[in-house]
Amino acid sequence: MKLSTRLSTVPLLAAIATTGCIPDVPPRPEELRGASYSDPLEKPDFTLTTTDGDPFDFRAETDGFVTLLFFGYTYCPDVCPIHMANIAAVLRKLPPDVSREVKVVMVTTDPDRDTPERFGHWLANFDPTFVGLIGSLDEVNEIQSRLRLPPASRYGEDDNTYTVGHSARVIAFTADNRAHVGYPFGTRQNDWAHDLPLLVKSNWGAP
Amino acid sequence: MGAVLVAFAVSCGAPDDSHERTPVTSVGNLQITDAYAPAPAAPDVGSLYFTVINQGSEPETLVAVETSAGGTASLHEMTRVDGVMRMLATGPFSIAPSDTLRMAPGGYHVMLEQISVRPEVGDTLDVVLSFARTGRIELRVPVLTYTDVARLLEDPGDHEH
Repeated sequence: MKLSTRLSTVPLLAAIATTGCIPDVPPRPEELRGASYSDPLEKPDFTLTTTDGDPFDFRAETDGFVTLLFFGYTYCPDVCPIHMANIAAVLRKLPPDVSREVKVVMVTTDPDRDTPERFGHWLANFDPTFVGLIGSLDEVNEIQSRLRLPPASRYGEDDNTYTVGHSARVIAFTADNRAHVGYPFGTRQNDWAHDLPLLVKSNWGAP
Repeated sequence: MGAVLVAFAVSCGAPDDSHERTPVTSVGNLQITDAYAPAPAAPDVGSLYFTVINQGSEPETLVAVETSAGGTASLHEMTRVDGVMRMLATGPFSIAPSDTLRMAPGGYHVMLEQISVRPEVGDTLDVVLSFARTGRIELRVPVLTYTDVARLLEDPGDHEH
């Protein structure tokens, strides 16, 4: 009896020693490569329209998932496509039990030019499961303000060639529907590959 | 303008076989290295990167860029103010003697707009750079995936865990 107890304990301890944490304990900020929020962000409650024209209740649709939220646009030369390409490449490489727990949602900061068709095709270059959301710029900026992000704004007079300033940060919500960490531009594929399994592994105290 | 100018940070002659690199193009006092273009994710907008090293004793100015993708090509810089990233057109760009104009995602890039021939992965983009002193320099630029472009940015040390 005693022997079997000891035997069953050893692999568990070994697992804890290897992984650094048991499943329910969230990673410490210093274990993550992303930038930790000292005051975590609450997942915002909003509904915008997908590139397929369907309503998307962000909080309900992403409930319980690790959800990467980004605000950008398709005329963006490199920050936006590189974030999306990096995340897509890493999700393809991670074990399915990790990648299926991750949802990626991008909200356009350029609703005038990012038509559903254009935005949908653009996102599908990276991963067809990425969700593209469209709303008015006022709606989008209101959501960004709740996330303590600066508002997106248009620069330039010409209706075809204006540019859009926007935050370059990807916000990562976890199973507790809060964001404890964000990822600036310059986050590498190996940073994502390091952090996403850690974000997925814990339920962050969610019921 | 000088903040992103990095003098000779690339170690020449350190081959990196994991990434596709263009050969160095030398014309007059100019050396062009690290030219690449991601295959655009949008049908009409793309970007192009290269590094210009001015080895001469006079300043040189990059006046214009043309590409086989058609449309317009203009030098832009990303700036970050109060957490907002935005692009600014720089216009003709002066490179001081012994200085380097290094383009990379998140910094300087050539913005390709209203392109008529969308470059695909594996294609070569024909590029003509026009400099005030040196004149025209022709480049054949590989078209890469964004994933490959992102890998070019990684420090070799990043791969260790």
